[in-house]
Amino acid sequence: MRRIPALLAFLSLAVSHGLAVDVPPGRSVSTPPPSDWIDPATGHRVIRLSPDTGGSSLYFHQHAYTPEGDKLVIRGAGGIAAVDISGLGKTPPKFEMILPNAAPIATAWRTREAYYVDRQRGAMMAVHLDTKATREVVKLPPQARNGAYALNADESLLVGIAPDPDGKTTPRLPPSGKLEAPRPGSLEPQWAAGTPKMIYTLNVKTGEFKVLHRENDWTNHLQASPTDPQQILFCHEGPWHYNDRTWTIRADGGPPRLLHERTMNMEIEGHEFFSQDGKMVWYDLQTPMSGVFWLAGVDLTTGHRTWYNLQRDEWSVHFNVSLDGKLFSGDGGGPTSVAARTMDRQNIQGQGQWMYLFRPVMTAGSSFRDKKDLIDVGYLKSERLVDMSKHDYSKTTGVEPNGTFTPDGKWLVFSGNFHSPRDAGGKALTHTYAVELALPAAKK
Amino acid sequence: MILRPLSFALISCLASLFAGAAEPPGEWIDRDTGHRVVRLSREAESASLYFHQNPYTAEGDKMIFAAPGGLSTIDLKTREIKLIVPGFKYSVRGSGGLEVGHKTRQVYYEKDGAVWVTHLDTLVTRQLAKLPPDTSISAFNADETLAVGIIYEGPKPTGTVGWPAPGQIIRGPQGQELPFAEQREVLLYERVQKKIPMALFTVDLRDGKISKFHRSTEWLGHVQFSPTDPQLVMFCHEGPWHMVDRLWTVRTDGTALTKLHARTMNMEIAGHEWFSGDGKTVWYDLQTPRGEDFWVAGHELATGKRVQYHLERNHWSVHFNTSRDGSLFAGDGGDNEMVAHAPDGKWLYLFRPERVPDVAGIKNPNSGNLINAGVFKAERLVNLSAHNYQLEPNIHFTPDNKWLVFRSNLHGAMHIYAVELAKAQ
Repeated sequence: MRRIPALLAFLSLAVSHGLAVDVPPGRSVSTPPPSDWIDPATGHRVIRLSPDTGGSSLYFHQHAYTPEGDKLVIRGAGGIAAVDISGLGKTPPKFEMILPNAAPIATAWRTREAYYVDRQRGAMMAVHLDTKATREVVKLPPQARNGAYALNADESLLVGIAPDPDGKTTPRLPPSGKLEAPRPGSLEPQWAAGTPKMIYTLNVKTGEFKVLHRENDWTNHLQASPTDPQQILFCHEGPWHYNDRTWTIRADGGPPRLLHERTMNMEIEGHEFFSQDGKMVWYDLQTPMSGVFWLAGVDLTTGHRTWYNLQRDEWSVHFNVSLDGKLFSGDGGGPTSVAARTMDRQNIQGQGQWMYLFRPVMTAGSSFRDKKDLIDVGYLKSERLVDMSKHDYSKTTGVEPNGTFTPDGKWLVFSGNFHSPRDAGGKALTHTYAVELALPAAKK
Repeated sequence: MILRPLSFALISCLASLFAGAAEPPGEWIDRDTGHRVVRLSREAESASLYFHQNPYTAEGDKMIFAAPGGLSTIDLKTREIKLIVPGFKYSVRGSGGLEVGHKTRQVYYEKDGAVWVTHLDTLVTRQLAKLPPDTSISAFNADETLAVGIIYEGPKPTGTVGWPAPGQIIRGPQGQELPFAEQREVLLYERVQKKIPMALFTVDLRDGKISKFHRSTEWLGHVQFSPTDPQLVMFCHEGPWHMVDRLWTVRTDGTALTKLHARTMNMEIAGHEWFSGDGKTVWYDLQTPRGEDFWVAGHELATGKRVQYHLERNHWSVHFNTSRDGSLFAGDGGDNEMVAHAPDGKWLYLFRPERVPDVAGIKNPNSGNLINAGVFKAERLVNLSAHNYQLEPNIHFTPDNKWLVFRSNLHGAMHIYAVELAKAQ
């Protein structure tokens, strides 16, 4: 694992802030963590968006910005908070608690609101990010009270995944024919359970409830297209190497469609997401697992594929794409990630703890001789944005950084804990940060 | 096979006393790899065969090679060299025209417009068949009844196809002079586009009968016979690898034409294919895409099952090869101007294949239809930093699996060397 020498980190902080706050793990501190500095390893400027008490950015595919791009929604102090980023880099970011005791699902596509569920009321709600006024979007029928939610592009439909009350549990065995001994973190038990699930839509105006699809899989990772009101993306969760993971289904009918078919033993793919124009679905592809790394995309209309090759160090637990589709980001991988071992399971030094900016480059030359559709290939030229060597990637004690591009394409927002003290259990407080994509020297 | 390094070293020491300082060493231990290397050839400009041509007797005691004076044998035990076909010329850029029989102790070859056979021990030589004009012989089959070759059915291209003529400069769309490798790509593509009619043909070695069996306007080349199935031929569509569907098999009666690898990706390339020793698998260099991601891929002919072994960039090799028993692979490396642009690729490599394990022993339900992935564990055998890759080393495992034979100019003139796979004590 790559570590900056403590002295260097100390100096860089001391230079940019005039104070030393490189806190050793396990010790509490009253000095607030740095709020604005230049990463000495990358030269990029980083600004903390969350208050001293912490706050985490949303999961990478959750929409988190207002349509105007001036406000960012984060989770802070157990509630929905907003950060004014309209003057980011010029004036300090303004944090504001919008609604305590609520968890944001996403910002609305077209209004200055964030969605959340009020469990007691049994309703999908929206809170206005300026006025803090709340409104009921739609009452949730009993069968839609639990599970995952997404709002479609024109906000006419709430899309959900929930247990299917009419279904039967059909347990299943993995391809080996027997369940492995329970171990922490294994995805197999929930995969094998075979509980009934349904994907449904709920019309927010009429309250019409419609089941689109029923299955006994581990249905998850629900997303609605940012542009096509009928397009839904979901996954079959479980061990990636024997799952057919990434699927679309349309709210206006038709069977689910598998977006990637495996050709190689131990080929895995996942952590799929829409391009901002809704035309492509991108995903992490490994051919095979821990061996060869790609960011793969499929055009939903034409089926045409584009794959970008990545070096092992550049593999990221989550990738993302800018609004204009020209830039990609990655949040790196922890020292024990899937990329920190070889394809034959040798553990190797886990490099790759960085926030990355990726510029796609196409492979030179053309094989399109016989008009057969081929995968377009290239590679991602990487630029390191933030040194994450002191960041804890663990989902239990730390946080996955989950980068998102700001709508103006100038910053990448992510969660980090590299400056956070660890509590007695080794847990680190999460903060939300933004890193500027342009280098200070390159700015005019 | 037992190579006797000490006695050979003595001989070569004595030889060097007479030949002067230009004589390359007869034996050394590579300082970077710890492996023993011995020189097999005595005369400068001696060449071992192209990687897929069989140079060994079935017994594994003798190997043929091309000495300046003609086709020669070396006894792998005593290192005795014998000239057996004086005047036979061999091009190190060629890939066909001679092979040792898979059953008998004879070498089959093309010379002066005819097919010949010479016994390696008795030197008894016979002409087996006269060849029509505009033909060339590529390979000889498993039971030594057929030769396979290429015949031009239209105007045969003149000059060295795919190489710029003296003084010729190929320019790109903006009028810029292209790098040499790209000039070659343009010329290769021009040749493909000419769609010159060609055919594969067999020569019956018993009665000299010529039979055409596969006609095409593709540019046919790299023709090989299966080492075990007397009727199975492998050939390629030559041209820029990223444009052609290169790998094909066909039977000598023209049936069962099969494309062995279908491209799925732009700039995906496959080539330098060869048969496994048991004839069951075709192996080849696969890049997904070209110059980016490197594999040695195998296609099992009976089942269509595939396996791909992944390689690091520095381990990419212009030719790969397998041991007769299929347990080991080797590569002859490449310099930084070749397709992999490897910063440190000038080595001879031994590769031990390892399959990717399934997580917790779980197999995908369809894993029978899936490509089996694996990885090559590389061991460096010889430092070739002094070797000029305009000569391709073209490795062959010796039949006893203990040495790797290659040609090299690392000491100036071309010689044939063998490196021991076990480390020197």
